[in-house]
Parts: sequence; C-alpha cells; structure tokens
Amino acid sequence: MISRRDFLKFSGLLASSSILELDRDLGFLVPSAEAAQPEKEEKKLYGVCGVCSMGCAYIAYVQNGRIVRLEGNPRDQIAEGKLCVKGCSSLNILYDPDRLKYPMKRTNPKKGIGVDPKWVKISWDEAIGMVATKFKEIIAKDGPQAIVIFARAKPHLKHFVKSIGTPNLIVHSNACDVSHDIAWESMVTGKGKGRPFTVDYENSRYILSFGWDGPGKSKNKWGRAVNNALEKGARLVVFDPRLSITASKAHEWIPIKPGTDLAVLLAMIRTIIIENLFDHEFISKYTIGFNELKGRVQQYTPEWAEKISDVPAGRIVRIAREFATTKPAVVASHKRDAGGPLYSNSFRVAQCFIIMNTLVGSIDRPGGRILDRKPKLPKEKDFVKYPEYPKAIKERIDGMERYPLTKKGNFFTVAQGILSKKPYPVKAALFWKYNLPSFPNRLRLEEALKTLDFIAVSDIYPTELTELADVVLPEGTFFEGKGLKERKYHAMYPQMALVEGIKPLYDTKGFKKVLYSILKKMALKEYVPDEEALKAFSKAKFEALGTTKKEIHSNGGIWTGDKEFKPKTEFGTPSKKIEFTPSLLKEKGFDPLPYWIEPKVMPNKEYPYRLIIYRTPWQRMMKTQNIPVLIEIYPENTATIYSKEAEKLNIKDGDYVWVESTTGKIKVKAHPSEGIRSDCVAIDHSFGHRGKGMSVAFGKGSNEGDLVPDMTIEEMLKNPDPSANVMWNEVVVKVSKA
Amino acid sequence: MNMQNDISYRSGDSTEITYLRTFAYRAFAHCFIYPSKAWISELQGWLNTLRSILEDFGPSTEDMVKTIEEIQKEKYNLQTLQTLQIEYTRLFINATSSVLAPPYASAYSEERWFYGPPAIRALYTYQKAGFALSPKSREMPDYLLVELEFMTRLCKKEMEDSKSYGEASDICKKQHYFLTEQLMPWVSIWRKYVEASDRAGFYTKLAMLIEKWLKIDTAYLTNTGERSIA
Repeated sequence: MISRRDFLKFSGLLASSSILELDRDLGFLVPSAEAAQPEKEEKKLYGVCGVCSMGCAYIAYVQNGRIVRLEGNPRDQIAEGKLCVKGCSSLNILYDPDRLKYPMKRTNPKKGIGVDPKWVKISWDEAIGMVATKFKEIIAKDGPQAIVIFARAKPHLKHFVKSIGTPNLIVHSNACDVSHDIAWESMVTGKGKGRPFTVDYENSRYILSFGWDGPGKSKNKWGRAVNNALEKGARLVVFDPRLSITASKAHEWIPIKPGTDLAVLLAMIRTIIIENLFDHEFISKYTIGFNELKGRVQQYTPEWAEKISDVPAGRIVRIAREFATTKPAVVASHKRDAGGPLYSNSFRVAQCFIIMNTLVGSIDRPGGRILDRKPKLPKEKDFVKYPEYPKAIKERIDGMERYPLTKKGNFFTVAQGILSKKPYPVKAALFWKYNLPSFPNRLRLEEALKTLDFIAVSDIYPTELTELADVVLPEGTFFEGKGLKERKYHAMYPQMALVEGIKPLYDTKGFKKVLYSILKKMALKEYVPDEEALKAFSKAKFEALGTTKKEIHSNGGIWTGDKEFKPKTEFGTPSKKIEFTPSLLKEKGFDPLPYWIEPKVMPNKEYPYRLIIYRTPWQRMMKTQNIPVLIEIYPENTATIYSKEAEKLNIKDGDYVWVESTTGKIKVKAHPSEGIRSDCVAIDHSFGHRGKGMSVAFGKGSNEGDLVPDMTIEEMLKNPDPSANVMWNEVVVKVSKA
Repeated sequence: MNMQNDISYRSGDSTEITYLRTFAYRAFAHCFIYPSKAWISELQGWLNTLRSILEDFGPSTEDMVKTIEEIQKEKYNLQTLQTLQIEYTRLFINATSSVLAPPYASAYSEERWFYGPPAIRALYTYQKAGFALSPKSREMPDYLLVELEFMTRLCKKEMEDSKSYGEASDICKKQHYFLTEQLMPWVSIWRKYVEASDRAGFYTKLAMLIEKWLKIDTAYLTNTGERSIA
C-alpha cells in the first residue's frame, strides 16, 4: 500500500515533470452543464434513405444520442410510411465497426488486392494536402486531363472537374440508365432533361413489362403500387427470360429469348397502328412523325417477330390489342430492363417503350408514365458566382467525346484507355463511392489503376478499392447529413423531404466539403463557394417553398405543394410535341426511328448459355453486403439454370459450379429452376467482394461482372447505339460442376 | 464487497493515493492515444510516472514494472514511430481485414454493431457522476479513452470532495461500479484480441498493463471499502 512517504516521493517526481499538469485530460468529457445529456425519451429526426436512389423518407427515433429504429415517413409519397428490407437494416451501416473512421494514407508502396497498404491515420489537413499537392504537380507536368475523377455526376462533382480543368469525369450512367435518358430527351423531355421517374402504376389497368422488375428489387413504392393495381383488377404481363419476382406476380409470364424484346415491340407497335387501336386524339394533338413511324414498322410483322423471339405471333397480337384497348395502360420501365444497358439494341427498345405509351395516350396521363412534378426552386448559380472555368481538352480517356449525345463517362472503356495511354497518359484518380466490382472485368481496371502514380478514394467502407489507394477519405453515411431533398422517384406532385442528421461519428466528412477543401489547397479558391452566398441560397429555397425548417419539422418532415394533377399539353422537345422522329437524333446523324438490331452475341456450341444479370430484393449494388441481417437472409448469390439443363450437367441445387465466359470464370452456387429459359444462366449482382475490410461481405458469393468483357472505344462504336449503353447481358457462358 | 451497501469510505493516505491513481489513469490514457511526434517526446515521461506509481504497490505490480522497463528499453523514437502508427491503425481503427481489436466496449457485446448497450450504460454513468460527452468530441461513450478519462475525472472529484466523507464515499462507489460493471468486462477480452494480432509488441504490453491496472485498482477499492466497514 502507498504510504505518505511514498506519496511525497511521487509528488516530487510529478512536480519535476513539465508534462504532467493535473488538468491534462483528453477532453472527451465535460461537466454536465456544458453538454446535452442522454435522453430516455425518443426524439424524432427526419431523413431520406440513401441505400438506393428511390430515397424513401424516413423517421429516425433517437434515444440517448443513438438512432434506435427507423420507419417510413407516412407523409412521403414514395415511402408512404414503409421502408424496404435494405432501408430498415441500414442502421447497421451507421454503427458498423468496419466503417472508415479517420483519413489514412498508405505507407507500403507495393499495391495490390490483398497487399497490406500499412495504413496510418492522418489529419484531414494532411489528407487534403496530399491530394492537392499531387494534383497540382500533375497539372503542371502532364496537364489536368491526366487526372480522372470516378464519381456520380452531382453538380458539385461537375463543378470540381471543370474547376481543375480535366474532361475526365467517369460516371456509371452508361452502365445504368443512359439509353432511357437519351430516348426520353430526344423524344419527350428535351436535351439534358433525362427521363421522368414517375409511373402511376396504382391507377393503371394494364401493366406491360419487358424485363422490368422494380418490385423484385424491393423498390418500395413500385412494389406496393403494382400490388395495389393488381388488387384493383389491373392485368400484369411480363416478358422476361427469367421468372423475376414481378413475373411471378403476373397474369402472364412470357420467357422471351433475351435480346429480342425489340422485335416483339416493333410488331406490337405495327399491330396497334395497323389495327387502328391507337389514341387518335393524343397522337394528333401531341405528337409529330406518326406517318414516318407507321411506314417504318410495316415490315415488322408478328410472324417475323415470332421467328426471332420465340413468342408466338398470335400472342404478340393479342397482348398488343389488350394493351391498346385497356385504358389506362403503361409499359413499365426504369433502368435495367430490356431498354436499359443490357443489349446492343436496348436504346431502340427504350424508344419503343415511349412509342407504346404514346400510342395509348399514357404519357403524362393518370395510370401512365408521368413527367415528374417538382417544386420551383432557385438555382445555386443565381447565388454563387465563379470565374470562367479553364478550357479542358476535348479528348477523354474513355473516348466518350465521340458520342455526341452522352458524355457522362464510360465504365467499360476507361480501363483500356488508361492502359493504352491514348490519347494521353493518366497519372491520378480520385474515386467517390465506386468499388472495383461495380465495373466489368475488374481485373483490367485493377491493372490500369496500378499504373497510376496516385489514387485517392472516398468511401464509407474499406472496400477492395481502398487497398489500392494512396489516401483514404472517410465519408459519412446518409444518417449524418443535413438538407432538403426533392421527391423524385415518384413525384405525382411537388414534395420535399427534410434531412436532419445526427452528429457525425468519428472523423468523417461529406465529399462536397472535401472537394472544396481540395480546391482551396490547390489555390483555386475562386471556385469555392462563399459561405454567405450558400446560406442565402439555402434561405431562398425555404422562401420559395414558403416555409421554414422548423415548420417542415413540425409538419412531419415533409413539404407538399399543389396536389392537383394537370396533364401536360406541351413537352420539352424543340417542337413541344412528343417526337416519333426526334430532331435531336436526326441532327446528330442517327436514324430517328427504331429499327431491328441483332443482339451482339448468341449462345453457341462452346458457350451455350446467355448470361442474365439481375438484382435481388436483399442487396443494393455493392453497398449493403456488410449488413449481417441481409447476409443472413441471403448469404450468397446463385447461378439459376434451367432444371433439365442442370440435370444434363449432373448439377444439383446447392452444388458449386464454374461459370465461364471468354473474359473470366467464377465459382458460384447453382440453383436449378423451372423459372428460366433453357438457353440462359441468371446470376444476381452484389457479391464477390475481395476486400477483407468489409468483414461480413468478404468471401460471400462471386462477382458476375468478372464474366463481362470491357472494351475499347472503337469496339463500342461498332454498336450503332447513340446512347453508348454498355450491354451487360451481351455475354455467353458455359457451366461445369466445380 | 457489496457496493450496494452504504459504505463510509476513508483511510489514512487515501487523498494522496487517489492523487496517484488520477495520474495512473491519465498516464495510461496518454500512452494509448494515437502515436505522433509529440506523443513520442512525452512517452518516456508517462512511462516513468507509471513505473514510479506501480513500484511501491508491492509484489502484485512487480511484473507490471518489469513490463514498463521492457517498453522503455525498446526506446521508441521517430524512427520507430511509423511502425507504431501502422499497428495502432490496423488494431484499433481500420485494417484491410476487419478492425482487429476495436477499443469500444460495444464491440465485445452480443450485438456486432457499435454504440450498443454498453455505450448507453456508459452515458448514464457519466450523467450520474455529473459529466457528459463533450460536444466537440465525435467519439462514442464506450471508447477506451473516454472510459479511462472518466476514471481520472472520478478520482479528481474524489480528491476535491475529500473533506466530505459521504461524498467521497459515493464517488468511490461509482468508481468501483464503473470498473467492475463497465471497464473490466470488456478490457479483458479486448486485451486478448490485441495480443492475438499485435505485430509490434507495444500494444500487447500496454493492453496487458491496462488490464492489470484495472484489476489492481478494483482490488484496492474493494479492500479500502471493506476496511472502512470494519
């Protein structure tokens, strides 16, 4: 036991040491009066789910500083009081031990997946300084084009890219929704306006799907709306090579030959026109180019389509008639359906979807495809002024300057661009929340990235891509952000959702702030918005809505505008009409009307199955695989193969099989099923993480993207698609027991 | 000792001992912060403090003193700083595998996620003792450094309130409760995780020292409480 004598000895020791002042605590705690105390009472915070782009508004219940549960916001027209399984379990992301917590830099110069980067924690100042210094060096020596930014095309991202002067913003959209966007822009909404997201399924009487599986991806609103429509007596018809969840709820499932939806659609359009079943008033008032369309489709008889698609001509005709005579009717679509980035002819499929909806008068009419109703808000550019951007060179590393209608970047050609060093060498990359398995043939991209001098990655998780990074920039989750979000994925009327984040955990930062800090450090302060101007912009938004943050909070976190639906009589095209022969396509030298294009590949003797990539309700892209409850529900992805084919190959349910294409080979669990065509193998996306940093996700399933070939821009240009869709499903494979 | 009983806590040199205990907790916390140049320059000082405090605790701390001497012999300096930073990062922040030995109580509770029941318990314990998490801090309530700081604060408070037997006794009970119910249960498990993954050796020794110190301090508080009852 310590005695007084000992104590005096210590006192001498302590007094002699300059570092040991009595009050040198670390400052984590303060006297109660200086800080908020834990509260047993649940407090409500409003927010918007960031798991998928649908963005359901939620109510978070906070107790003792911790979010304890989530529920859908009943005032939100998207959530309607509900969240999907991914949204409900997303709290795991916020409190996941694997989350990136502090900025880090690698100390091991050797790079590779599975190679320990020997991270050390650094300050934000050092992290930002490293990025800024490297970018400045590269700009001085190699030019700004030697920097490639991989990120979603948010306004602040576009601004950053323009400010530093690189043409290279690589966005995932041509692997996602570009064909729909370009089809809508050219035919209905006008240049740069993209596609509408809203479909009034609830009031539709006939829903026709070509590979659309919104409910199967647990898209909250759409699943509910389709179910409600079915309860009210709507008919649902699904063309899909695979028995999707939507197909399983349908009155008819037609297992069409993949890549041939275009043939069926052209024949249906012909039927509706020839049999005079179209909406005459709508066509005469609101469209141009009908006669040209009529002329074009004459050649596409149902018998012709039958030979191509395996769908009997009689069935094509009957469904076309039903669709045109049951009002209102709608062709369902969003992103990864037959009009999405799947086949060589998908752009023309997307055009046909619009034509079908127009023929039956369903564009912006109840029960049809609705042009989103958005509130009129001020624009940031009215408050924040920047000097002219430096002039960027035209040539992009992905070659996308050769596509006149879409320049958003290309996931499929960027790796070969970097490796070829044409048109110039790339030296650095900055990634925001993209991971290697999001790309086709990720090994090629990995190889390309290893040739770079510098890589910075901003993410929530230590993904496999962070293992290649020189600097890791930890991002906050959607629970930690603040703001006001437009209701976009279902906007029958203007609505905004309030976002009230909890205090951010660890030392994370939103990427927008990070980008502005990088610009400041690069001595590009003139491109950093003034704080006061941003405050004025924020104030103006609330003024435009005629409300305050406090008022929205007390109104349940939602602002709602005029709910009255007034159908549009003018559209965003140069003619203000729906253009069957879009001037935008004609001007750029593309055929304005849809025409038949063969799929790029077909199953053959060596590779007898077409690869079908799909999404499950349990996972969102490569983002949610570290959530234990979702992995518990569905631990790994599977290769669905027709039961008789499996029997031929001696494959039983649960056996591991090799699925091999000309690009790669993956091992995956087999799932023999009656619910797929005999010439297809379907694999769901979201698995196959190689990074052990996501400890739950690691080692679960395989990444089907490893089977999909990337391309050079020349190879891509061979496909006559103005939207440069990447053709995820133009892959044939063989299967063998592992 | 039954901490639920109303124990009147007081012994001859307790104020002085509490003074030293304050330093011990503070020294352990400072040894555990993320290694930096400033940290390197102060490390020997904190280790000297710990050694001096522990040397006179008798045979029960001999191995701890020996461990501190071993650490001091390693002569951690600017050349070896990066090794410690790498190790700290992979053990306690992020690794290319899952973070190996997270210094949060919740990580060792039934739920996998952070900010679990142990963090809430810690929050309430801080509240009852008149403290709260600093608005400037983004750390969770059950982070090792927060819990060590709490013990420092309680020791300081005990000294400040030493003139009143009742209040000092109450604070001692709080310390004993926090040690036995909050810190000890998870620090012992955490120490094993550190030992299993540490490549540099420093953190294995430090975790072992922290665990042992918590045990010794618990025993000290228990004995003192029992003596005062007698």
